[in-house]
Amino acid sequence: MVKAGGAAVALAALVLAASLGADPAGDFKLIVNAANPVTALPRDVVKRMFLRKATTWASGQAVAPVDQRTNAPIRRAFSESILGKDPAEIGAYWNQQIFSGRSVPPPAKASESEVLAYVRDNANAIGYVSADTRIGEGVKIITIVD
Amino acid sequence: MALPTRPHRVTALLSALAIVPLVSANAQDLASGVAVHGFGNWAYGRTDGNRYLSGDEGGRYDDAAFSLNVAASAGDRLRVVAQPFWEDGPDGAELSLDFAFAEWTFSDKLKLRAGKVPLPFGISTEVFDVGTLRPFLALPQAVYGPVGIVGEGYAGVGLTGAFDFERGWGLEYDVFGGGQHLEEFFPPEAVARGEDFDEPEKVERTRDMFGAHLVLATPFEGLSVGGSVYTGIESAVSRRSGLGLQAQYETNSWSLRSEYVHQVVEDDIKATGFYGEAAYRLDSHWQIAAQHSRFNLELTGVPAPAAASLLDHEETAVGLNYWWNYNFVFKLSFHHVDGNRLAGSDPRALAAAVAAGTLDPKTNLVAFGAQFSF
Repeated sequence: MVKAGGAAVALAALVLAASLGADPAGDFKLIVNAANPVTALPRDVVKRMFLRKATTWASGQAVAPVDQRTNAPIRRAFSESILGKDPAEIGAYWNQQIFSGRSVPPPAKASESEVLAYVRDNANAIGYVSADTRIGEGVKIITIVD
Repeated sequence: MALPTRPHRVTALLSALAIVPLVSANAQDLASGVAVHGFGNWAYGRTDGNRYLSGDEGGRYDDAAFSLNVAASAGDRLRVVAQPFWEDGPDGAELSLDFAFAEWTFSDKLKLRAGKVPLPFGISTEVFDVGTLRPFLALPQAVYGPVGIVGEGYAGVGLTGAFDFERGWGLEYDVFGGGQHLEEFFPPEAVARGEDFDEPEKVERTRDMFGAHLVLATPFEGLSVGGSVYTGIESAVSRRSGLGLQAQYETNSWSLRSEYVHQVVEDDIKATGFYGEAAYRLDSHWQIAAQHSRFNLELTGVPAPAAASLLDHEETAVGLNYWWNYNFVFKLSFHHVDGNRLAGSDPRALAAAVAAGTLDPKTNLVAFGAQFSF
């Protein structure tokens, strides 16, 4: 019974950990490299990072946002929840930035495992994955603060 | 720079296009820190007599262009961006450099740019040829046409940055100095002055130029207003100064834009241009659009020309677009033009037409084309 109780606690802890940072509106979670001291970010700051309007962390290090592939459902959810625009509007925004020479969009990875690898390998990276995706070592979830 | 012979022209274009298969459908990272994008267009135009934009009386199919944008990051603070541009038309193919510059980031509020840089003036100068960023095939000609008000880039040094304030306010700025050259369609002005001309396109070079561009983002999502100024010395000794005001409202459904520009070249000309434009998405694919614009040129110390229409341009246009997605669009438009500052007969026959009283001040154009980006 003790073992069953311990397993239940462990399972509850796992569920709780997985849900931390999840955005109920889009069912995704925000992730950064495990060495990043940040534990929470305002929603507006996350938006500005992914639009490359905010290009540094508070530490002064350059932010490295990573996106998901254009037609991924999770990308649409993230775009509408965080950026406040659908992918077509964001596409027009990036065309304006690209062809005026001002910036380029974050790299778009083909799968969530590639997103996790990018964040794991880059100390300044920030990305997002589905709420039920196992994140593994080297990556941590941070909270979106409204 | 005109490409010398057809084989060389084809080779140059094919060499550039050879890069395209190396990138994915979303284009892009050839190697860490390097991004490749591009855009292009093709248009057909037919008028009821005069030449205007991509059209003439017999119909023209040869209006096409393509550009590659290459951006490379060398570390966290240095970016280098270049954008060559190939254009084909009735006078042959032309290769030019839209811009090539380096940008050093001190912070989001302060960046330094040096090289040939997109001119920060008005809503669309920085993205002059990108058709997927506007509702019509061409930009409003009263402001962006070859009327000598703005060039596409300046060669020099500039500072740029952005500030975010509370409650949704924001400010983007540019200040710059250097030189620019403006391409101007000269024949109507030449005929109005009673002068001859060698080539229809005249290049006006402005040196010792300083300018600034401010855009204020408002708490009302999608609404921004702004202004632009520049002043410099013409190729002789006259001072050329320009002023622009802009307002823009952009949402997923609506695109509302309006600009006013005024330019003075001391002891030479005064030019004023204005347009208002509205576009509405009926659904994710179909879009309707309308535009009205006016331009007027005053020649200092020159008697009124025999054909006043040589100095005026008034245009009303309506359009219907089909967006396959935000990167690929078909556009169909109808334009009615009053005036001959930009629409008219063969430039080399213009003076004779004015003398004979046969210059038609009105032009109707139907244009169809495709524009794309990646």
